[in-house]
Amino acid sequence: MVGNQDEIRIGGLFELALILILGVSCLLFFLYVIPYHLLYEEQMQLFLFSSDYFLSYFSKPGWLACYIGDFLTQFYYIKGGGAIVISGVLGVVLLMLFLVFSRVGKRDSWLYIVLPVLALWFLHTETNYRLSSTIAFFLALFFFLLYSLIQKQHKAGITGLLLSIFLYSFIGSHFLTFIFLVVIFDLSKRRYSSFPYWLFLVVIGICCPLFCREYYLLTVRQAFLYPMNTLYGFLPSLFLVGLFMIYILSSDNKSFRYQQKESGILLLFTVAFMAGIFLNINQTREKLLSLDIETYSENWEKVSRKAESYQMKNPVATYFTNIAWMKQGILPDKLLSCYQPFSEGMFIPVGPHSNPLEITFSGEIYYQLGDMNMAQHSTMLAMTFSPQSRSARLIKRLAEINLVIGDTAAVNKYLRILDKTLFYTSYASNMRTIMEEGEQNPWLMQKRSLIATYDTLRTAADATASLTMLIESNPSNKAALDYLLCYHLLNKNIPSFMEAFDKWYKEKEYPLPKFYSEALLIGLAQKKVSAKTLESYHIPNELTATFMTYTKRYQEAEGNGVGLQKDYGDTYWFYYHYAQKKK
Amino acid sequence: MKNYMMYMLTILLLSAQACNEAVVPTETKQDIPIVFPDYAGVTIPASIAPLNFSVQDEFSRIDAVFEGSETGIIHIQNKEAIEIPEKEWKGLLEKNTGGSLKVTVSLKKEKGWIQYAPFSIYISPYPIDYGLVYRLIAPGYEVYSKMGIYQRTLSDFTQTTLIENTILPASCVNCHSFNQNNPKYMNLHIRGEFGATMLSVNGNTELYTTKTEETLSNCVYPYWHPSGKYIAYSVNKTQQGFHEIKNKRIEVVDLASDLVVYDIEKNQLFSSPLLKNDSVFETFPAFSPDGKSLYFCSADYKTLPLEYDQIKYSLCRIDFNPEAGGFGQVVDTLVSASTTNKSVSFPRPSFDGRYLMYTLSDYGNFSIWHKEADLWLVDLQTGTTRELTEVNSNDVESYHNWSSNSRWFVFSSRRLDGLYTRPFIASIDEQGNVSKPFLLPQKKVSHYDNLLQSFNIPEFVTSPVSFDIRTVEKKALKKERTPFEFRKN
Repeated sequence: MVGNQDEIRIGGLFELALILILGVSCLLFFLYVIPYHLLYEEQMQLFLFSSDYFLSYFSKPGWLACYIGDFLTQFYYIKGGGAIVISGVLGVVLLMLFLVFSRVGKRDSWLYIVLPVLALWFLHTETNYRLSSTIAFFLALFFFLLYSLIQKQHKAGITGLLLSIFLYSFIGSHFLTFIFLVVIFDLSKRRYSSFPYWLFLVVIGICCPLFCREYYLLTVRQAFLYPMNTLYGFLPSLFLVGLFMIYILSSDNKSFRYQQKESGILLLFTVAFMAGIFLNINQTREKLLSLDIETYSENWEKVSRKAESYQMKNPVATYFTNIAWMKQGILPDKLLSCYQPFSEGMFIPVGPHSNPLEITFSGEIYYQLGDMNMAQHSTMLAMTFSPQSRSARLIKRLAEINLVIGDTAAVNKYLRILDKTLFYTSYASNMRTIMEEGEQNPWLMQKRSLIATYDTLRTAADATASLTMLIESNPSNKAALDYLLCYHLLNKNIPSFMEAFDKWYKEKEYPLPKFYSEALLIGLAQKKVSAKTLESYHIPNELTATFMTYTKRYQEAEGNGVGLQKDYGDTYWFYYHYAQKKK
Repeated sequence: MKNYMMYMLTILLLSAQACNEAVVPTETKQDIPIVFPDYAGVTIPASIAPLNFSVQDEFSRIDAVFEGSETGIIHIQNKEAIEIPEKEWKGLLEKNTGGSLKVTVSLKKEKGWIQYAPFSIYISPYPIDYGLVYRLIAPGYEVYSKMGIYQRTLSDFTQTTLIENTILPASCVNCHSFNQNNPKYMNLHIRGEFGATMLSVNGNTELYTTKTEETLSNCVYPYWHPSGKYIAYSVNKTQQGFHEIKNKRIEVVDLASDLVVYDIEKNQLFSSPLLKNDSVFETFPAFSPDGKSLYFCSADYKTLPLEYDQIKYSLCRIDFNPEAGGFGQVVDTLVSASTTNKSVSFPRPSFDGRYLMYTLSDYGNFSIWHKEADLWLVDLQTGTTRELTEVNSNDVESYHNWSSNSRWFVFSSRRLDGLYTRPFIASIDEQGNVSKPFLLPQKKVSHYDNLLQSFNIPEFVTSPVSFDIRTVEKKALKKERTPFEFRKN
């Protein structure tokens, strides 16, 4: 398949096989290794088909790249869509790199172009790396290709100059990639007389973001990075520029010598890079995203199953697990069967140092419990901290919250926004149907039955006030009651547990979970109640006897829990005496 | 060449006209259409930007004819909304200033054109200020979110950014304030890592630290003295709380608050025992236009957060001596909370000295989240006070301020969706007649629908604000601040 000197070499079997394997690997990687990650990215953006929305892209550099990137990102909504879009975009970038390398003169060594593409792949494993950045890189290559096609030097010079000035607006910080490519291309052509021109281009590269940042209201760092947010975003450019530099410095100025041993090195490098991509995945974040997305979809059994298989010692994982168990009605039965960092896995506190993921996650528990004010507050905060301060998922949630509290004007506002999307119009239509049905709709009736009916004022951190108010408003809200009782249990707050139990649980015909019985025995022992009072709690006699034995052995152990763990490790008594907060 | 151009232009105009279908109504309605924004019967200044609107109904085409009471006509037809060319609109308003426009709307539906009864738009003879300055902020208060201060020209749709906190990450920008709408005197607070109070007087911009040992907190709510020599501030220790029930959301309460006045020339804060009283909450200062009085809100101390709904602010006044920089010895109560059993916030005297507008809510001072909050007006000549029923709605009306000629006022209201505050403008004539307010017009009718931020503290300005963002950024990042001093008596 090797052509003569003037033909572009399409590639031998090895090259084609490598490209094919890489393409399929990429597709499978995004399809099966980090699928939730891509779903989350789609949910955290909002793409509207409206002129206002389009014009909003001009408020930051790289409007063209960002608009195309966000347009494509909306297709992540479709199952497998994210994997196909990213693989497709990387494939197109590869093709563009091939054309660019061909222009520079490397016909025998084009396979090196996989290196910048591997770098892009690597970057896409980060949640805060936007597809827009890859599009910006692609456009930098595209405009460079146009530039390289201009034969006359003065015309090319003027084009390069004009493009450099305007590209910052079109593609953002990757206009620097364009400038470097132009300079290196001219170097490869031995146009040394153009040195002042190169210098001028570099000056444009430095000055353009500095001058424009006042208009775009960006810090110096943001102005040189947008739409990326870390220097790592320039990794593909670094590879590309590096390859060009090697080409210029190589003894044969026309091309790399592409030899058999080099193919082996390239193969090894590719494999190593792919291994690096796999190793680079933040497994904790990916697992949390999977729990979050399944929680958002209310797939409670799936959340429980996943959480149990992950066995994570992470408060946020515990948070999703607790929500799922609460919704399944098994929270008090399963409470201590997973990692419980006291009550830190019950609510996610939000403060100035919270990261956007935590802020997004924090509202779910309030929404499920029925505290719509706190759910709305968290959702609005999460919206503000989403990449572009607009998110389809959060707008859906705001519509749901307002529908539950009966604020139809607000619901209609959010639905009108969703009407302008490609994939959420049917959701908006369904919501309108629910709105028309009112309390005839079982979902709405159930949600409305949970909300508070009388008021109090509380701080954001006072979760017990929220739970208490929900139970006071609706004593049959057993989910909220279990959550409150478990909250007290995890904090070892037996007096509060006893008070809440006596007030809302004792007289109901609810089954008595084992952990509640065990906690009651501690509380009743502390109060030194009479046998008659003990009897009124309907605690099995067998459990009371076990408690007596435990107490005796605990006193004998004099604080050493090792001997007790085997027999009592799964009891609340053991947790009460030996669980300690990590400092 | 000139003839050729004219010929082409005529063809283009005719083509454009040809796009308009002839409106032959198959049905005529007796009712006026339900337009959004609701511009039916509003009074507008002659310089206002076009009142683009649509109708809340299904249709395939919309047609509107604007006919001046004196002269002139504009005919617009479109698919989704009426978008009026700025030049034609301006011409029509200028020719009919003091008169009105008759607006006839027709909608094309399946069965043909339906024509609605016409409605009027009244064009006031009173001019309005150059523009509005407001903060756009998402309704979240826990963490510093994305926000900015923006300037909007009232005669067109231009919105320019004065500052966004993207340039000072993790900061909050708030409490922009001008001296009787004169943008040459500007106050702006920056909170967070780069915290400061920016004062800009005739182009000189300085950043200050406003917390002193003698004061409770940084300076908060500002109000310029008409001389430009003083700024009154409240100092507040606040706490945020959340409601449980659906009609209430967020509450911010003062745990303690006082009033101080800053003497710009001497770089000194001063106060009075009558304004710095531990058993009283004092807040929202506002100088009278002659500079000889300071209006403010005052409430008796209550135990917090238990009695948060028992805090009710009265509208008070104290003499101010601008020459010596001191206060009188008596506090007058203009609107007593014990009489109304309600709470006053945001007192704002008109600049002609005739009126004072305030917000009245059930309790507290965070009226911006109180659905019952309404605007009220005190006639300072007669001492009478009345509810501004002409502008109030079932939802929140809160922050407000006057145009420099006191013939217009702007206020924020959540009436559109209950969540996001939007700026409305209304006029008031010499007799105190108040017009139906109009929503600040936008080029696209869907603008407010798509916007997920609230308009916060809308303030008129008489000319464009000259804001050197580079200087502010440079000074803010340096973290060098001039400290306020407190006058020792």
